[in-house]
Amino acid sequence: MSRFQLSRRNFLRGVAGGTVATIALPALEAMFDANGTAHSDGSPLSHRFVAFHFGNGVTLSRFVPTTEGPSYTLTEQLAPIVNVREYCHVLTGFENKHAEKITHHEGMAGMWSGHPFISQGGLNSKFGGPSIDQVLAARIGNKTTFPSLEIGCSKRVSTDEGPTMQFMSHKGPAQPMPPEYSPRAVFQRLFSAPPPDDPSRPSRVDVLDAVLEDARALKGRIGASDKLRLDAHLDSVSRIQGQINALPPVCMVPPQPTEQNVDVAGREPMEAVAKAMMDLLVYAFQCDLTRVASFMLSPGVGHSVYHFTGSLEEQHSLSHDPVGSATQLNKTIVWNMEQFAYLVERMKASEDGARNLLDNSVVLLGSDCSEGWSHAIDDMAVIAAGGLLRSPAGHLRSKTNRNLSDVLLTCMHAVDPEITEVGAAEMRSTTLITEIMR
Amino acid sequence: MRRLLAKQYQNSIGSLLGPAAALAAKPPPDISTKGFESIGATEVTPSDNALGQYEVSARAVAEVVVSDISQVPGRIGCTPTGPEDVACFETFVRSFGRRAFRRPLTTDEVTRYVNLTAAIAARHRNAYAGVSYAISAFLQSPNFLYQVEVGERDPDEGSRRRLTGYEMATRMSFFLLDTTPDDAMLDAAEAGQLVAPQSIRASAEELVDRSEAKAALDNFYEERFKLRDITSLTKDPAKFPAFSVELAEAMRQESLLLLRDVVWTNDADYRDLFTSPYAFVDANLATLYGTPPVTSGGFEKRMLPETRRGVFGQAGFLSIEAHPTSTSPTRRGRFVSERMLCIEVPPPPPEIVTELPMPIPGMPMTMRQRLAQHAGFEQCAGCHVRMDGIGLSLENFDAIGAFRTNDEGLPIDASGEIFEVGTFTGLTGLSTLVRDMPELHRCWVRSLYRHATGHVESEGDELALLKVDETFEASYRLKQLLVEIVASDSFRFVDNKESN
Repeated sequence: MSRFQLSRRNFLRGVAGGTVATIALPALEAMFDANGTAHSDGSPLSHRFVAFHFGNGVTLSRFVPTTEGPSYTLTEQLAPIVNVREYCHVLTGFENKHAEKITHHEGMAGMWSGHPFISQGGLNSKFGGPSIDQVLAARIGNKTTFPSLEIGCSKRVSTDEGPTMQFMSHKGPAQPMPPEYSPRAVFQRLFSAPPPDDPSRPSRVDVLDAVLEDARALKGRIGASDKLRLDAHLDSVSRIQGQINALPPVCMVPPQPTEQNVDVAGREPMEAVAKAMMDLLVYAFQCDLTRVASFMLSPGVGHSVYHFTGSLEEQHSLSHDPVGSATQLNKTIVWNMEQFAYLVERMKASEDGARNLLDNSVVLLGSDCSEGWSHAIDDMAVIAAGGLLRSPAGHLRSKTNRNLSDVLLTCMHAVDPEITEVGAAEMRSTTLITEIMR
Repeated sequence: MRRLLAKQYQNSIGSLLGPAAALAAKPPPDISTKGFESIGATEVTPSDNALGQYEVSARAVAEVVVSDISQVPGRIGCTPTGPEDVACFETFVRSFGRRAFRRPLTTDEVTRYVNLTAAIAARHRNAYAGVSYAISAFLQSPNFLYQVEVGERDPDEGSRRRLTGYEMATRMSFFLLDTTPDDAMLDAAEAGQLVAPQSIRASAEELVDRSEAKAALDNFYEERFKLRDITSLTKDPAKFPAFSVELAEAMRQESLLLLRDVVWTNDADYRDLFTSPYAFVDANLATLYGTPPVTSGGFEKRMLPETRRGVFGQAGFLSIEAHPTSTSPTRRGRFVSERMLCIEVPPPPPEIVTELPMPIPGMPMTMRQRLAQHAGFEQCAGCHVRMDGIGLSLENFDAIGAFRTNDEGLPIDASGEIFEVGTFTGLTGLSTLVRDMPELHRCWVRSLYRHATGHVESEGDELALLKVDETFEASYRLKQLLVEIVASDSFRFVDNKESN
């Protein structure tokens, strides 16, 4: 059967009418080679990455399978991944090597960056280096309108312990990436570019040109550290310009969600928000508006209450009481896993060229400790899912406390093979986990 | 370089463009570092998304401004005759630009903004469109979004750079009023009146008498006491049926009403905040506290029962620093130690099990008995005594601040201890001890200083702050403390910032 060949470049020219503009393109089947493994012009398929965080760990005795390999028996807390288990590498026994331990902070820093945090006194810190989603965004984010997307679900985040506990995504120590908590706001950010002939477009761009000129003039007057901040500010303004100039995505735009993550009688609508956010994320990937995302379902520590599981205790408090609150704690952890499973299942069910979206992705699930009551980080519970890793997936347990950063590196390398190291100091890794590589 | 706090951004837009414009302003949320949003404003670089929010906000504000054309000339200083009225655009750019940037514009800036206004007016064939987009540009400029402090050489000081008059006007106005300096202050700066210490003090004394000063101190106080998030608290309705979003909001207002009464209405000794025998309560709080009832629908001053005194007896603090189903002496103690006394509690040691024993049905335990576990482990005890020792004295107040004498049916022992300071009993014991601790006064001085300058005081600031301590501890007037901080030597110079 002969296939109609449509190059991305011709397609771009056709839609944009020759003007300089970026455009978000869906992966149409006609743009792929006969095997569906590369674009017809030879460029590699778009790889996607999601960092998926839930707070306060699991219960290892209810999470870790007793056997290894693809045919392990699903445990109570792994049961939700049943429909996508062939994609889910369950990784246990890996150690977050962070040397300084003040509870939770080292877990966040090790899980999502591999850099030791920078202490700010007492229980207060900030990330010591970029989170892995931002490392990837710096490499592959320039191909899309939005270099990365930061999503939050529960808003009950600890705000008085510094940026480490408040955010999972960080460009660097001085630039945390706060998430958007409202599905409506995410939608508006992604899908509200004005039509190409809207006169507001050039005027908004002119305005930002003036702002950029102001910033450049200011740079001549200020000190070195302020210059660095202003440079980052300038870069962001340039990207906002690009987003205003971007043509509306050529793909099915989802309906605008009504959900805005507003408390109802003091309770967070976590269930509705999580689902709406994951649906939007899948659309964003399908429309190729972004290829990198971080998703903070619930914060480490924090004050999230999983009222829909029948408990009005803070999830963090439940995690400190594994005996008295065992049943309630288990329900919250299973719910976390169900959300992860929903995202992975949705990606599997979404077309992406000749394959599905999950085939072209890595979704990394992790937390800020292995178990809440001990704050231990020497036996982390992690799942690395996606077709960019080996198939079929199974349970891999390290008996030698391998470096958790090896997991981070392997996931990043699967998305961008040119990445060969991650992290710093005792957490640095240059070691790939060959057992889970494709 | 310090970014305006969200409140300061909104207030500034209100000062520049009126209340309707302020309502349309939707800045990104503040980020706190080292316990202060204003330090976050110095240290944290905004993300793409944050700058996108500024862009959306600036356009929304500008649209509100030109939505009623009859109002525009008053805001911009002239009435444009058409999209080619460059003279009017220049008048607008010079006058609005001076207010927005808090200094006169440079020649380059005037040219840039006049050209921008004219180009967009021509494109849309509408002068007001030009003005509207130009306003949105001013509001996104780093000259508006950041307090820029470059300073100038001080002929009397070799090494330090003093703030220029305009920079001082800006720093004072944002600290004392949470808003941009008005024309009179900019005129004073232009006339060179905000450089000498005496005139700075005189100006600060004028500013603290403005109504905005009250709201600005409220903002600081709400941040210190975490009151802004109070309506998102969860409390178990089975145990605390009285708790509601409305009650939480009343708790927030009660705290601010006492602050306003002590500081502004009476200009009284601020230590009275900690031992006040009266409170301002609405009907629900009156019931919770057991005061004579309030039927007016608003807040009224009521004498408190003997068992309840001052801010540590306020339901807001007691609820925020508690769990949904139980009290948390640890959290309450940590708050008093860290936020009120500036005594840092070390982080917990690694890999310890932090589980507390749950009461076994039929064998109830008080919170004190459960927490005794902390004291039983040497590695926990050293730090927990600094928190639990304080918090346990407040056990007579449950997780929403209602008075009680029993915990799980057992009588409450409210004895307490401030580590290396002394022992006492109950809320009144804690309050009378804390109110006279020098650590409390120095903590207020330093907290206000950090809030005012966006950095933790360095060694170089310490001498000036010791002088402020001395003055404050002679009068204990918060209103005067605000002036003393502005008039202090460390406020007049460009910061020697700490690293990290």
